[in-house]
Amino acid sequence: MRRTKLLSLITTTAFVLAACGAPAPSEAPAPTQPPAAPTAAIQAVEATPLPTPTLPPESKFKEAPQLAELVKAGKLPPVEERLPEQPVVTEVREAIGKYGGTIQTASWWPGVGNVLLYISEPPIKWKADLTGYEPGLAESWEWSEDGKTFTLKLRKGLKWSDGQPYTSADWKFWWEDMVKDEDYKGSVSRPSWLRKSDGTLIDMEFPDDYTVVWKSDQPLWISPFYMAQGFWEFANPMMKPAHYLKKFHPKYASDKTYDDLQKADQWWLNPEFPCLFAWCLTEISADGQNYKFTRNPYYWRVDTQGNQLPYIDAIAVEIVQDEQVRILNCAQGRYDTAFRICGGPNEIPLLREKAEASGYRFLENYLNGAGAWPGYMVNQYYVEGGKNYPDDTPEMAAEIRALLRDKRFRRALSFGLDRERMIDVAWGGIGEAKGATISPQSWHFAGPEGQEVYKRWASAYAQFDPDQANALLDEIGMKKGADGFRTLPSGKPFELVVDISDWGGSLKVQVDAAAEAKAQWEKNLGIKVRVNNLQGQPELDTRTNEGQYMLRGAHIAEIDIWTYPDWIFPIVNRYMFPLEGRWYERGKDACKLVEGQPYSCGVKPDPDSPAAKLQALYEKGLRTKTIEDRHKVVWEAIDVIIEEGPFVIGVAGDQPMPIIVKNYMRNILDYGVVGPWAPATPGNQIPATWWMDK
Amino acid sequence: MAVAAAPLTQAKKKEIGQSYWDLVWYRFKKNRLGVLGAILLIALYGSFVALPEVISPYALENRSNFVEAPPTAIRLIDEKGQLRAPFIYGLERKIDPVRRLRTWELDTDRKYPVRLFVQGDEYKLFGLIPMNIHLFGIEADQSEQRIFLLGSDALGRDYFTRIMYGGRLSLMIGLLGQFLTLVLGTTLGVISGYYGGAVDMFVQRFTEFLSAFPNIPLFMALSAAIPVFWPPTAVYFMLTIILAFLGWGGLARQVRGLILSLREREYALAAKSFGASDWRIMFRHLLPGTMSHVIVIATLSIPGMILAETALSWLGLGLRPPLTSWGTLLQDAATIRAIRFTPWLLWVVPPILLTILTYNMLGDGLRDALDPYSGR
Repeated sequence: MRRTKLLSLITTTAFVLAACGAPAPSEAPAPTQPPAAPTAAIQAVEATPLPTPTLPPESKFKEAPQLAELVKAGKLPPVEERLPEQPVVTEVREAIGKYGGTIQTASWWPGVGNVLLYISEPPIKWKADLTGYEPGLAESWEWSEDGKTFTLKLRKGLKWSDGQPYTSADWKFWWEDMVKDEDYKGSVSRPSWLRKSDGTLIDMEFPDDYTVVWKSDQPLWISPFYMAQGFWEFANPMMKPAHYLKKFHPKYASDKTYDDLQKADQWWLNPEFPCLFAWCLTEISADGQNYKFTRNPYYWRVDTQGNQLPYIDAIAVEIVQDEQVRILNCAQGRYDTAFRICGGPNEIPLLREKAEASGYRFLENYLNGAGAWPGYMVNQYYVEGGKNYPDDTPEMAAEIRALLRDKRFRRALSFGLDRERMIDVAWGGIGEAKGATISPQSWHFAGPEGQEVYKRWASAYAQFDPDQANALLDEIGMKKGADGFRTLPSGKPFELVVDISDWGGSLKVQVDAAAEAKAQWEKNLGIKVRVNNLQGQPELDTRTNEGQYMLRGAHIAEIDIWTYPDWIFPIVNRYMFPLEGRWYERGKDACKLVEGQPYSCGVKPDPDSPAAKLQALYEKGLRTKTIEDRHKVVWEAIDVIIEEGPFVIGVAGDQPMPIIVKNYMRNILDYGVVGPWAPATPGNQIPATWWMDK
Repeated sequence: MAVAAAPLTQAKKKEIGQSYWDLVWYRFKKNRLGVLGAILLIALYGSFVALPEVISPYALENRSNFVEAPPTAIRLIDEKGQLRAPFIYGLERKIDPVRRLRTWELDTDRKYPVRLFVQGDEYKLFGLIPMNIHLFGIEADQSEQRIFLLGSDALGRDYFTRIMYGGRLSLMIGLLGQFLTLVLGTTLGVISGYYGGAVDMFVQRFTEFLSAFPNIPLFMALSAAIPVFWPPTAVYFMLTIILAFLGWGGLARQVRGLILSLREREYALAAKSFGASDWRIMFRHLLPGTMSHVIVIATLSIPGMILAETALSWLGLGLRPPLTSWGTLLQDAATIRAIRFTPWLLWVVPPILLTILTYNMLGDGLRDALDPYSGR
C-alpha cells in the first residue's frame, strides 16, 4: 500500500495546510454502537406529551441582565408589564438555563430563511415530537359543529417587540387592508385555504380585541393548521403589525405608495419591523452578508422558574453560499448550531472525524425524512414545448404522453432499477432501497395500521426484476430499433429525458444517481435515456409546471399531507400532475384561457383517471372532521397510488442528517426531520429555551 | 550532404555547407532537456492517444461494484513474508454504520497474480483491429475482483483507465486547437502584414477586440451557445474551435511583425518584379521565413490549450460527461469529501503536469535550435 500511503500523505498534508487536519484512515475509531434506525418512528422518540407546566405560586419574574439595566435606566418597562397577563410557561428539556451568548451560524440563503424557519413561532404550532399541534401565539381555538366557523383566541397582553399590544386589530389590518387590497402585491398570500368553495375569500370577523373568527361556506377543519408551518405560512404572509405598517399604507398615509409598503413589509430584511418572536432582526451589514437577530424584550414565554425567555442574547448569521466552504467551517466548529448548512448525509464521515477536535456533537436522531431521495417523478400530462425532440409537435407529445400515462411503462422503469447499486453509487452504499413515499415519520403512518400502509407503499414495485420489466415493455409494443434501443409503439425512436437539479440539497447525489439510472435503464430495458442537468437554469421549474418534462429527479419528504398535499393530491400546478393540478388550482372549469396558451387553464382530468380519483379524495378530506379520520383518507389515496402507480420511481429512502451543535449547547431536542416542509424543523422546537453552558 | 563530406574529419563535416535544418537538428540534439521532452512527448502521445485501450486493463465505461475502492497495491511478498510473483489481494466491502462510511478491506485469503498481456474487454485498436489483449491485468471474473492501479471512482470505474482515455481528449484538443490556431493566426497575420493599410487596420483591431475581452465570460457565453442535444463529439470539436478562435490573436500579431520586415527583403521584391501573384509571394516566399518562429510559439502554447480545456471542463463550461477528459476527471475531485476519502482522484494531476513540462522542455529546445546562427 505504499503508493496509497504516499498519496494520502501528500493530499492530507495539503488538506491539513488548507484548513482541517485529517487523521489517517487507519486511526478511525472502530464501530462501537449501531446508529439510530434510519426510519425511526416519531413515537419511539417521545411517546407522551409534556404536561402543561405551571409556575410555582408567588414566583417573581426574572429577566436578562441587559434588560434589567435598561429597566433601571428607565428605557424599558419592568418585566411584569412586558409579559402578557398569562405568560406561557415553558418546560425546558434539560435544565434551567443561564442568560447570555450569541449563536453563530450561517446560511446559504440570501434572507437567511433557514434561520427564520426556527425563529418563527405561529399561533398554532407543531409539537416538538411532530405528533400533533399545540397552542403557540394563540391561547386556544375551536370550530363550530359544522366546521364552517373557526374561532381563534389570542393571548391577552401580548406585545410586539416595540411594546405595542398584539391584538385582533393587527389581524383586521392584515385581512382588510392587505389581503383584500388586490393592489398590494407584497408579502401576503391569498391561498386556497382562505377561500370559499366558489374561490372568493372567506369572511373574517373581529368581535373583540382577542378574538378572530373565520367563516366559510365549507368546513375549515384543515385551514388553520397551515399556520403551523410557521415561516412561509404565518411569519411572512400573516404577521403584520398594524401600528407600524399603517405608516406606509397608502390608505392611511397619503404620501406613501404600495412600493413603500412592500419595502417596509419585509420582516426578514427590515430591522425596523416589530416582531413577535424570541429574536427579531436588528442589524444587516451593508453588504447583506451578515444578519443579527437580537432578543425581543417583550417575548411571551417564561421558564418554570419565571425567567423570561430566550436565554440566548442574539443569533448572528453569515451568508456563505459555497457549500464546500460551509462544510469546512462546520468541521472547524465555527457554528454553534448548524441545522441545514453542513451538507448532506455523505458529509457525515468527515464531520464525525472532526467532532471531538472541534468541540461539536451530532444530534444523532436527526433524519432527513425523505421518502424518496432521489426519486423520479413521471409527468402525467406531457405536452409539447420542451424541445426534448427535434420533432416537438403535439402529435409526438401525445404519443409520449400516452406512454408516460401507461402504468405498465412506469412499473417497467421501477422494476428496471437495481436500487442497491444506485445506493452504492449515490449514497456510499448506505441507505434503504424502497419505492417512493412521503416521509416515513409522517403522522399518517403512526400506529400499526398506518405502518402497514406505509410498508405496502414503500415496497410496491420496488424489487429489481428486469425480466418482468421487459415483458411489460414488450406488451406495450415498444420494439427494439436498429440501434438496439426500444422505440415508441408507433415505431418512432424514443429517448427518455430526465431533468435533474440539486433538489434535496446535493447536486452530486442527483448527478451520480441519474448517471447510474441512465446506464441501468439502457442496459436492463433498452430504453435510451438523456440526462438533462438543469441546475440553476431558468427553465427548470417551467418545464415541470408547464408539463414539458418527462422524468425529473426529486427529493420527496412530507410529514403532513393535508397542509402540503402536492405529493399525493394533484391540486396544485406542480410535480407529477402539473396540468391536472393547474386545472384544479385555477378554479376548475371556471378558468378562462389566455389566448395563445392552450394549457393556461390546465387540463381537466378524465373521469376515473388517477388524478380525478385523488382530487375527489382530497375534497373528501376537506370535509372530514377529525385528524384520525383524515389519516384514513390518506390511506385511501395511497391505495389509489399503489393501484395506478407508481407516479414517482423511488430509489432510496431516508438518511440521517449531519446536524451539529457545539458541545455547550443545551436544551436542544435530539430529534428532528429536516426534509419536510410542514413542520419547518427545528421550528417545531422552542429555540428560546436553548442556552450555552460555558 | 554527408556523401560529399565523406573524406573530411567529423569536425570539418559540420562546418561545411550545411542546410539550415541540419544546423537546427544539430543544435537540438545537443539540448538534452529538449530531446528528453521530445522523447517523453512521443511516449505520452503514444500511450495516451494511440494506445490507451491496450495499456488500460478495462474498457472506459466498464462499471463495477467496487465503488470508490482505493488503489490496488501490487505485491511481491505475501502475508507470510514469502516472495512470490506479482499478485494482488482480494477486496472486501465493509460498511461502518457509525461513521457512515463504506471501506474496502484486504482479503488476504484471496490472491490474484498480475499478468502481462491478459485477455479482457473487447476493443478496436486504432478503431480498426478488434482485440481483447490488455497490457496487464488479473485473470479473475470481473465481478469477483479487479485491479485498480489508481483506485476506482464513484461509479466503480477503474480510475487508471479513465486517466488514460481522458488523456486522449485532452492531448488531442491541444494539438487540434493549436493546428486551427496556426492556420487562422498565420493566414491572417500574413495577410495583415503583407497588405497593410485598411486590411491590417481591421485585422489588428479585431485581434485587440478579442484579446480585450475577459476570457472566462466569453467562454461561458460561447459554451452556453452549444446546444445540449449535440452529440459529445460535436461538443468536443466546438470547444476546440472556440479555444482556437480565442487563441489566434497573439500569433497573428507576431507573424504580421515578421512579414512586415520580410516583405521588404530583396527576394520578396524580386518575386514581385517577376510578376508573382500576391498569394504566391505571401505563402510561398514569405511564410516559410516565419516558420521557425511559428513552430516555437505553437509548441509553447499547446500547454495553454490543454490547461484551458482542463480548467473550463473543471468549471463545467467545457467538455461534459459522458466525455472523459482530464478536466472532467478533475471535477470529481473538487469536493472536501473527495480529498479526504478518495484522494486517489487527484492522480489526474501528474499527467497534466508532465504534459505541460514536456511541452515546455521541447519548446525551449526548439527555440534555441531554430535560431542556429545566434552565438551561444
